[in-house]
Amino acid sequence: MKSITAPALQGTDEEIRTLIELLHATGQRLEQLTAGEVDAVADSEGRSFVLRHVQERQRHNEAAKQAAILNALPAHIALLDAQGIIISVNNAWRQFAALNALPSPQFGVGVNYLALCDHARGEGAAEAQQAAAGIRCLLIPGGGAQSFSLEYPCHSPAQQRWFLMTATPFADDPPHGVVVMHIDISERKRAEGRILRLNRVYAVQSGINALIVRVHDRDELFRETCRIAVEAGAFRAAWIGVIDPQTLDGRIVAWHGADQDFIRSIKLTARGATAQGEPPACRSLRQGQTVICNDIATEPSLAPRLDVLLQRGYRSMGCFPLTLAGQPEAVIVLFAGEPDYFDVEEVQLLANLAANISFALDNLEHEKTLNRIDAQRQQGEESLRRFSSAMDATADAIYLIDRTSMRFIHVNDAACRMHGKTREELLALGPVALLETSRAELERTYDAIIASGADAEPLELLRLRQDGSQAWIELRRHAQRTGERWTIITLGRDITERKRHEQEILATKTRLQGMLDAIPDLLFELGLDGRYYAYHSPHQELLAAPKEELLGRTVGEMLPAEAADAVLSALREADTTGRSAGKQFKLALPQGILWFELSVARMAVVHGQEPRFICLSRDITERKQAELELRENEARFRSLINLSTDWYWQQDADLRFVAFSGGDHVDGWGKDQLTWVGLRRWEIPGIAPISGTWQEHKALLEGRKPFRDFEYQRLAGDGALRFVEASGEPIFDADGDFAGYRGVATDITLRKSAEHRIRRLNRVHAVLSGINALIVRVADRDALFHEACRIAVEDGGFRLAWIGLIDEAAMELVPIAAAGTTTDAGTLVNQRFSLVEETPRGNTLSARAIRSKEPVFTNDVPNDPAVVFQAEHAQRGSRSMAILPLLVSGETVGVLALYAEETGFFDEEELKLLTELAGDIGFAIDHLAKEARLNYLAYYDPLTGLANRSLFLDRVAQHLRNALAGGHGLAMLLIDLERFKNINDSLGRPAGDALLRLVADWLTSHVEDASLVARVGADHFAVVLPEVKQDCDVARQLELTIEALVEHPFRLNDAVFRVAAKVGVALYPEDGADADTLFRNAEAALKRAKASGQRYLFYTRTMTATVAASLSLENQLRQALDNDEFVLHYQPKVNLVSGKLVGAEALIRWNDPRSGLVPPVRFIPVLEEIGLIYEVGRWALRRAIADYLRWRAAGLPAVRIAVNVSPLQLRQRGFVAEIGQAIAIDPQAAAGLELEITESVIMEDIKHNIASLQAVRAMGVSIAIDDFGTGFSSLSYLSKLPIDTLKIDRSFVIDMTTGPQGLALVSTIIDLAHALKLKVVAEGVDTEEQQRLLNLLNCDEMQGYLFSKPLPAEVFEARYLAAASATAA
Amino acid sequence: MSRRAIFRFRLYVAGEAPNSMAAIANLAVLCRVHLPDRYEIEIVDVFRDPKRALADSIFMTPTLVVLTPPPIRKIVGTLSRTQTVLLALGLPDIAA
Repeated sequence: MKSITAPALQGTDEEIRTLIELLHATGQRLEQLTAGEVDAVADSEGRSFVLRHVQERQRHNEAAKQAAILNALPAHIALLDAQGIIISVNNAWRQFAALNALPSPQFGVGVNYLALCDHARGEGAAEAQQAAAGIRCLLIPGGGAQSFSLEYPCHSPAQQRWFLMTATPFADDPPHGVVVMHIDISERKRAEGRILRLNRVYAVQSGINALIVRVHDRDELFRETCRIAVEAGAFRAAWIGVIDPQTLDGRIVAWHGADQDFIRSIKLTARGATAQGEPPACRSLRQGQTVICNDIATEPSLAPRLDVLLQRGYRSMGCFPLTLAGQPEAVIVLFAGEPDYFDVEEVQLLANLAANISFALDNLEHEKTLNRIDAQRQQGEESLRRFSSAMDATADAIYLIDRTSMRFIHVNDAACRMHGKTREELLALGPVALLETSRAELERTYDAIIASGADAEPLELLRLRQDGSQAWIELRRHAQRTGERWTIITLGRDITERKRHEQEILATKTRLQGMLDAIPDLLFELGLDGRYYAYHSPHQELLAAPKEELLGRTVGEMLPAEAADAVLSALREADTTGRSAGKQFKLALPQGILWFELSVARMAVVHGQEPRFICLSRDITERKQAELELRENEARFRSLINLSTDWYWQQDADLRFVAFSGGDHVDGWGKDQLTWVGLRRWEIPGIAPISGTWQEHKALLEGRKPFRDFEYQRLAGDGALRFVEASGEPIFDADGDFAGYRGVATDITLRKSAEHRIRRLNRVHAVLSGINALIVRVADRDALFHEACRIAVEDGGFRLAWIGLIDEAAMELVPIAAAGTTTDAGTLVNQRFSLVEETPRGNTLSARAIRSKEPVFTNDVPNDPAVVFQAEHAQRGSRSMAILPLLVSGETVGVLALYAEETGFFDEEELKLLTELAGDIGFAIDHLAKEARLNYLAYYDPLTGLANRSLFLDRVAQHLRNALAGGHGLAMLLIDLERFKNINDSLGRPAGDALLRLVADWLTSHVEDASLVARVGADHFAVVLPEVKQDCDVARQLELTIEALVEHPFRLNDAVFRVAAKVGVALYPEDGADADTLFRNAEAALKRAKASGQRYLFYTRTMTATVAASLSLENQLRQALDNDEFVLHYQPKVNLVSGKLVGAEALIRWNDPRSGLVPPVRFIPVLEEIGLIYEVGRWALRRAIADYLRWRAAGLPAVRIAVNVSPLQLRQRGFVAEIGQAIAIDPQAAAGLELEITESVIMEDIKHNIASLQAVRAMGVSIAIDDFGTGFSSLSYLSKLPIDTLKIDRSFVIDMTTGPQGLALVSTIIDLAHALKLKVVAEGVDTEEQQRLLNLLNCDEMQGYLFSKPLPAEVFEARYLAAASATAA
Repeated sequence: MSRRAIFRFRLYVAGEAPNSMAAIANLAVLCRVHLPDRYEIEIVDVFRDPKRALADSIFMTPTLVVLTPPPIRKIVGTLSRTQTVLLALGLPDIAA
């Protein structure tokens, strides 16, 4: 860098100024030049200078760093200058000051901190002033203090806090300021406090432990404990209270640190809570539990005495129970000056302490006994001094020592003896030498004794006797003042024996305890009354109750009665004989029911005391359980064996039987079994295996495998065949070698025979059902017999079966059919048997059966003399036979003979079944005969050859029986050939009949069994499906059938006809259980099918109502005609122009007595359906004519009456004739009649209708075409129709007013009619508008509600005819 | 320029002045990223060793002297513009 030339100087100031400016400018320029990235520049000498802006930045950074550090520190920091003014503070300072508006630290930069501290007042003032002084020291130039610190408390109401204030001067000299830091050391302090406290507790503990060792009596123990607690433990106060176990009242026996008044104010009791609650100490005493109250102020039970407590500064208290022999005896209560004093650690330590004290109490008890003797001895020592001669008499060594001279004053004889020295020698020796100690030491000891004013601890020394043996000497010392001198009285006793005794006892105790602990049994010390005195054993879990509860109580109180009795009786036995063993009892414990066995021994009696017993109770639960199990097993085993047919067998390793058990009572076994001992199974006489061969069984035994259900048979001694089932398992001995087999066996003879019987019966059942099914089907008697025999042999397993009928004329039995496994069946048929009684053959079984009308049988053919052809039968192997008579109407007409292979085949059950069978066959015979005899016609339809309704129903009944027996369903179908009547009417009867025959044939061939089809009505067929498994089967079959029927072309005289059918189906058992019900319901279903348009319908229950209703309607209508319930109503037709009556339409109404007037739409279809329409139509015709004639006769201006004709009527062949007949009654009649026929009907068969109508018209009756416009008119025919009037349908009349089209339509019709020279009548004219329009269109007549509704004859007559006549007149 | 050449740098700093600190940091990063395992850095504090600065004719700090590979180059500033520095070092433009 080149140096910058300096301008001329004008004096120093000028120079300086210029320099500064230059520097300034340079600095700025440099900064610009280097873009602020350069820190320092160097001059020509290489000295570098930091640029100003960098310096500033550095300063700034430093300051920031410092501030960050200050803020990061957990202390509240303030920087003071040399005057003590706060120059800066960190965040913590600010926060603390903000949170705690405390007088001492206030934040506020600029404030003089020292002044603040000086002027501090109130709590912490001293510390503040101290702080100020300290800080000032630091600011002293010339190195004052290095640093100053001060701890001070700063408690808030919420918690206790401590702070440490440190002040450190800045590092320069003199310091330009101080850093003041306040650190929160509350945690540390609290920890310190805790440690201090614990230390105190430890101090207490060790003090008390030291106490326990040396203390002699309880009161001292308690006193000292309290003292140590307060002094070493720094508790405010401590007291100990004891409880009187009887009254549960307590009293305070020791205290320290508290004043009398306070102690007196305490009420101690263990009775429990009072109204004010239970103070902690009482609760502790009562429960024997540690009770802590860490804030007395908040303990409700202490509230009454709160001020007393707080006055003394007691803030927390701890109550620790002291026990004697485990029972709460006393409580020690410690008071602390702070709340929350007792934390977990502390409580634990104090509780331990209390336990130690308790232990000490226990020890003291024990020592008391020992001490009693000692005390006695001590007493002796006292008086000893006074009676020196007595001294010599004692066995103990007595030494009197003068403290001042440290020499013996006197020693007694015993002392001399003990040491083996003469008195003089001893006196000369002196105590120091005797004790082999130093004078100083001994002096100290004696001084201590003197100072303590109490007896020193006894000293035990081990000394060698003269004879070299060891001796223990116990020295007891006592200080006594004599004038100004002190005398030490020492008692020495040879306690070698005692020591040894003690050691022995200890050893024994230890050994004993070890033994006891090793015993798993419970050891009790009981009194004769069963009272528990002691319990020795570590096993608490087997006790009936915790140990503490047992002691002092009796077994009667603690154990259940049964157990207690066992114990008491054992005790009594032990009392009498000295011991008792073996008594057992059980106890229910949490872990289950346990058994115990008692061993009781009476303890050596101590004089005067009640006898005590040691009682050992051993847990024998396992043993007992094993016993019980064993007994159970044995019982089970025995019961198994004792089952009526079971026995137990055992074989040795050679598989020879060695023993049997339990089979004595089994038939045929007992004696036999004895003879089997020593035999192997297959060597038993008469034995044969059933399940497998001997080889297989032997192989299994070789394999040492167990086997089950091995069946064999044997011939028993009594000749009977017996069957056995045996099971066995191999036995292995302790070494695992095969030792034989053992197992059980059962006589299954009965079971086997039962099995046989069942099989046989099944066969008989098979025969029965087969034959029953047969009976229904068969029509031919001989076929029946053959089938029956076949079934008996094939299904029934009989060897031979034959049926014969009686030829009465020849008194012979003629076999008709036979079947059998031998060829003799054929030859048999050619036989004839005489039935004449006297002949030998007359006494055959058959003859007997025939005569007696009862089954005759023999179960042992070879041996029965009554059997004919015995030899033959024997040859064939028939051993049993039965002859069953076949009865018709009570008379025997034949026999059924059955032969079986086994003997004893025919038993009661079988015979019953066979008798039934014979009955069925008899029935069949009868039935067949009847059938043949009866009038053919009665059962058949002559036309088709099918069965008629009666036969059909009979057959159905039979099928139903089978269905019931066989458990399957049955379906009955009723088939209606649609519109058959029409065909009949149009084609004539012969054609119709032929068609029917064709249909019948078709049905028969379709169903494949003529017997299932019947003709039950003119155009009704019925089919029965005798075996129906599922309803859908029927439906399917039906569909197929109907389809086939509909498709089938029936050819008749070169014409092909196709029929349609509707089917009604009734099912068994849903739709009925007898033939008639099924038929009725099939009919109902059919009706519904016809009404609904479905091809077929199944009958269901819900149909009943509707069908019944319609059926009843049918009936009602049938009756209606007879009961004159039909009436004619007349609706007038008027001339549109003149309004004059020109005619009337007669409308049939039905006056149903039940429901009133029924409109035709409701009943006309039914009439048509039931074919009643003709009659009703005829009636209507005649009625109308009659009315007309009547009016005419009455002189009224009768008008032509129009009667509606139904299509059915029109189609009727005799239609014209009928009209003719109707009007024939009067020549005038024709003029009063008009027939209204709907357009569609006429057009149906136009050719035929034209002829009919012409004929009618020719008679003088006019014809009107009704509902014109609604049908399909052929206009060409329209002109040819012999009609007079055209009636416009009401729909057109209504449409007239809806639009121009409607109007145009009506107009056109009218014009057309007029063109055809027809009169036009508008129907359903209801409004005047319609009338007006019609008028405009030139309609001729009208009919409708506008003028009048249809009226009964009388009303019509009165209103219109009479009036007209009146008007006319 | 061989890529295997070792770069020896000497960085003159002014004590703990901020730009100097920045230069040290930037140089370290640059070397670590772009010249891994082939650099050596020597830091010279001009306040401690003013003579060296003089000897090396350093007038401004921070200044980076690139000793090897030749030629010797001097770069003044905080070395924060890595691209510029790399260019000055003659290294190809490596996308940072």
